[in-house]
Amino acid sequence: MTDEKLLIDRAQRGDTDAFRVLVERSRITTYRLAYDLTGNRHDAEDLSQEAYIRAYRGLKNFRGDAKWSSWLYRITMNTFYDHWRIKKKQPVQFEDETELATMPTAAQTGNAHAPTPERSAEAGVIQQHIDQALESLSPQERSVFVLRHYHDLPLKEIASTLEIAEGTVKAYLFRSIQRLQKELAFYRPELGLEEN
Amino acid sequence: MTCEQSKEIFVLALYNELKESERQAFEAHLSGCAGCRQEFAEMQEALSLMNQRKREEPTAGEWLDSWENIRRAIETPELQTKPQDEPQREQQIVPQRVIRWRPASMPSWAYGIAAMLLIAVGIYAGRTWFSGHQQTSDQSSQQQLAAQPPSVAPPQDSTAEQTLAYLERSRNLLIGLTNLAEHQSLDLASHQRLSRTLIDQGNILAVSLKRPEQQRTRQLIQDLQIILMQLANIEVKPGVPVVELVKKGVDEKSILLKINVEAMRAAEQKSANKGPQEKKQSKRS
Repeated sequence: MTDEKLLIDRAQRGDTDAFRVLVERSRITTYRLAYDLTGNRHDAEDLSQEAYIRAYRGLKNFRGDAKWSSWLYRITMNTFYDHWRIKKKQPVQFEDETELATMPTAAQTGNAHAPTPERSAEAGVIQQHIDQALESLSPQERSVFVLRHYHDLPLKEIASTLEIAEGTVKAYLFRSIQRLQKELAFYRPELGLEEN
Repeated sequence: MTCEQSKEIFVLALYNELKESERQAFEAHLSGCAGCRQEFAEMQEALSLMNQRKREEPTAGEWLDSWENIRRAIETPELQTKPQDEPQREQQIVPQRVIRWRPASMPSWAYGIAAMLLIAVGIYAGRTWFSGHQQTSDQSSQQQLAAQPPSVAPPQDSTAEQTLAYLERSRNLLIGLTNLAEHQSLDLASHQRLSRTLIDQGNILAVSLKRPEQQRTRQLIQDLQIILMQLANIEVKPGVPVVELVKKGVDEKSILLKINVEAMRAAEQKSANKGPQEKKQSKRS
């Protein structure tokens, strides 16, 4: 039995010290995912704490053959979706590829947040605009994007974590990048990214 | 490879997830298609910009607080929400969040509710059921916090006594806060320390109240625990009028009835327990 499995086994039997070790080992990743999903520190702390509380209570459902990190990712995601649902009074549901194809894309919906091109490209402002661009994504798009881009999860693993088809992950990722591209388009000339 | 086919694998190419044969075909298409080449380059640029994103990280101290919150929640059965089958999501369970440990993200109405409960419990419990130990209203909250009332005994074998002691200490804490609203600046650290102590006592107490007739007391302790938890974690910031909100809460009555009844029951139970002991002692003498 690996060290991690041993800790999980002990935690499943109510050993909170063992659970604390599991939390210690994963807390940075979980916090970062929570931050990537919520976009601010306070909500990220709340979300990661709640995810761990749920994880502890759901430990009895954890199967030995599953990957602890993926399981934790999924719980964090679900906790985020629940909060989103309560906040927005609407569920977070992934459409399949064909339904997704009929929905408007970023290019069709335009860019509501775009600052003027004259604005400064200083670091703080860029950060703000990057955050705004992320805000423009739907929770589904955002979760797929942050898992791939900031957490380096292959598409297959994202599909498994979110329990959706790999093609759906691909479609959401494509849409999210398109939207980000649209949201951040005004930086292209400023950063010398404009193609001649 | 057609343009449509190439776009289908854009994301795989962007994140280097193409198989070698696919990669070669994709690159061959891009070299001959200016439209796809530009679209792909623009996506790469957007992602490169997204790489500049930074996150705010919590400090080591904040992490310790965070673990304490987790520990309290998982070690306190009374504060636990209904067990949720994670990650079985088919049921789409609505989370019942008991602890909101970050008042910064607490909605404004929640401050109001917490405040209403604080004032309500403090005033009514103090004036109605603990008047025998009532201190004058102009005493400082620090005095109330520092000097525990003589009737508050250390944990004893009688659950009723422990319940009464717990309620009384909670009452003193809350009355201190109410008085403080009128006279003083907030010594939040002292209130929070005592809140944490009470939370721990309440946890122990709630576990010992197992009988069906103690259900109401358990519920009351649970209600108080939530208030104490909020107080223990509250952050006073400019523009967050904690004390002002307390003053607005006079109309909230439901918890008052509960605390009144339970304090009375605990006091009766305590005297009933003492009765036989006193009789025994008098017989001996």
